[in-house]
Order: sequence, then structure tokens, then C-alpha cells
Amino acid sequence: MVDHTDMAPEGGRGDRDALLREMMPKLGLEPGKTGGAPSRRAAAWKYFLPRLAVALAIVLAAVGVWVLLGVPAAFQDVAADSDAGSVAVRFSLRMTPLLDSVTAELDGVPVKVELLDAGNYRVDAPKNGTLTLTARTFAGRVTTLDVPVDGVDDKAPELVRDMTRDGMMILYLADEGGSGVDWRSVSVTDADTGEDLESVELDEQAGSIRFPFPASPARVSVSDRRGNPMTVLLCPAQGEAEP
Amino acid sequence: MANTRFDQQYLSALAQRIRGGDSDAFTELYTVTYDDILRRVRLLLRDPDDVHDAMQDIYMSVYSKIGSLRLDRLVLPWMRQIAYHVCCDMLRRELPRRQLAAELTDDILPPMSADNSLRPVYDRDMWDRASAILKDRSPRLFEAFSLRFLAGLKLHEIAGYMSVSTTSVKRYIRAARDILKKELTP
Repeated sequence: MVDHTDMAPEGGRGDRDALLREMMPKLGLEPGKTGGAPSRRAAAWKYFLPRLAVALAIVLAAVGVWVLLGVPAAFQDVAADSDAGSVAVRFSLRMTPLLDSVTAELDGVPVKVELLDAGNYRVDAPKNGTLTLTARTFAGRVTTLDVPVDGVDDKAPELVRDMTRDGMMILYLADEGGSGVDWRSVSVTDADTGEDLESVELDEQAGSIRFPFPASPARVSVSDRRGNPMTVLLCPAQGEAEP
Repeated sequence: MANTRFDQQYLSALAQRIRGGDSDAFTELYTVTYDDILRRVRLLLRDPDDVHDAMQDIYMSVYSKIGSLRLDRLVLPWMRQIAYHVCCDMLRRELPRRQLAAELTDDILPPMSADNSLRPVYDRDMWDRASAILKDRSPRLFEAFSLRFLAGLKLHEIAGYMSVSTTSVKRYIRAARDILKKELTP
């Protein structure tokens, strides 16, 4: 503030104070203390403090934003529900306001991600495999989670037992843990001609097929409700059923 | 003292207190502006006694006229203007004791011999006429012109005083000379 000049008067402060003492009585003023700027410090506080506070608030806000942007998303509450036909994977994400995108791939193939409500998502996996969930924030932070999917029925019905009784072939079929045997899909045909055998009886309750013991090799085909097929070749000469 | 926004607020607060009769505020204003005003006065007045008298006149004017200041944040520029006018008045009063710059009288004003006893009156009369013409046209031109031919400042000193470039100072003085030549030369 002091204007250092090479033209300051000789005596400097002495001349200055002397002039002041000379003037004050002429002006009818009290000759107070000379020199100094006592109210300048208070004025500086009043002027700079609010501005410093604003600057500090801006800096803190910027730091806060920087910190928040650096925080990655986190997967929570991951659960899978299976209805044999597909597996619904539900999950939620923390730090959702900073999320830029949420994607999913099932063994490298993109699948749709459905937003249920704030922070909660669902993905329907149509087959078994590894579901890779990816969350990306606006700051570019990426978080991934691999969810094994094994609840989709991709196994065919099984022949659990076979027997002969009174000239009848009885085959017991089951689709344990699967979607169930689709009894409408049962077909028993001559393995050579492909013609349907006659008098084939289905007993859904018992889970069995019965038909007259074939004289020649016969093929029994059945699938489950998911369409997983199973075929059994019957060879009467050996007396066994072969899948 | 730099005329920053903080200084404006600070001096503005002092001006308000002085208006209320606060002698401490006047003392503080005097203290913080003394060097700035003194530097400007010493550019215009060479005699130490004149400097002393001018400084007293300036601050007494500041105190007595503080009520006429409309914008308190302009108190420092206002004080600098008071300093300029006080110094110009003192220089004008001294015209009978000395002659106007030769380049002014030889080139622009109608000639009169330096031996002529009416020369002092002539100089003051010519100066008053020149001042009236230039003040009417542009205060800026008059300020540069008076600093050059009344106070006898060099171009770079005028530039520093007016806070402009020397090119601008030359332009002001050239323009002032052209106006006076046209108005005063028969």
C-alpha cells in the first residue's frame, strides 16, 4: 500500500506528521495519533474473509466432486431365481447417481439389463453360462462381477428304469430338477422303417411308457418341456435299451 | 497506493467516517494517501515551500469538500484532481514572475518581446485565454497542455502523471496546439 517513490520529501514521515499537526487545529479537529492505518486491518478482514470463504468452498466442492468421481460403483444383493426356462439375476448398485452405464454379457453375448427402480436391476439369462455384469461411472471407473448361471434346464429326460412284463416293454422316464417330461413328445418307432409302433400307452402319473415288446429294434424319442431331446434305441435281441 | 477494489472500499469507509466528523478517519486518510499525493504535487511544483503550501491546501480542501463527493469509492481520484487544480492555480499565480515556455509563445501565441514591461500581464492574459479555449474543448487536452507549458513537465513525466502513453501525450499536445493556433492567431 505504501507508495515507495524516489520523490519522497526529505524527512519523510517527519514532514508528513508536522504538516498534519499544523493542519488539524485549522480544521478544528482533535490532533489524534499520527501514522498508521488502524482501521485498514479490520477493513481487510471484512473484505477478504468472505471472498476467502467462497474460494475455500469452491475448492472443497471441487475436491469433493473429484473424490466422488473416483469412487467406483459396487454390486450388492446379487440373487438368481430360476424357473428352469431362464435365470433372473437381480442386483443393486451403490453410488447410482455417478453411474454412466450398466451392461451385461452372457459368455460374451450382450443381454438386456432392466432397471427395476432406483439402484435395482434385473437380467434374464436364457441359458447357463457366466453372466458378466459391468458398471461404469462418469469418471470412467469400471466395476465388473461374474455371476455363474446354472439354473437353466438344458438336460434331457433320463431313462431311469426299463423292464418287461407279460410281453410288454415298460420304460420309466424322469426329468429330475428340470422342466419335466413333455409326454406329448413321446414317439416310439421302428428303428429301420421309422413307422410308429402301435399300442403305445403313456402313464404320466407313473412316469412310464409301455408298449408290446418289439420284434425288431425300436427307437423311443422324448423331450422335456424345454425341448431338450432324448432318444433310446431298443435292441430286442440283446434285451437292452440303449440311449 | 494502488486503486484496487479493496482500497476503494477501504477509502470509501474512511470518507464516510470523515463526513461524520471523525478526526481519526481524516488522520488515517491523510496518512495512507500522503505519499501518492505528494508525488504528484512534486511533479508539478519544484519549490519546497510551494509543495508544503499546496499539500496543506489540498488536504484542507479534501476535508471541507468531502460532503460534495458523490461516489465515496472515487475518493482517491477525486483527491488527485484536487491536487492537480491546486497546483495549476499556484503555477498560474506565478506566471507574472516567469515567462511561458518559449516554444509556446514563439509558435502559437502572438509575439511579444521579452523586454516588454507588459510581458508578465500578457503571459497571464494569454494563458487565461488559452485555458478557456482548451477547457471548453477537452479537459484531457487542457490537462496535458498545462502540465507541459505551465508546470514544465517532460513528456514521459506527463505520461506517468496522466497514466497514458507518451504517444497519447504527444497527440494531446499537438491537438491543443492546433486548436490554439487556429483560435488565437489572427
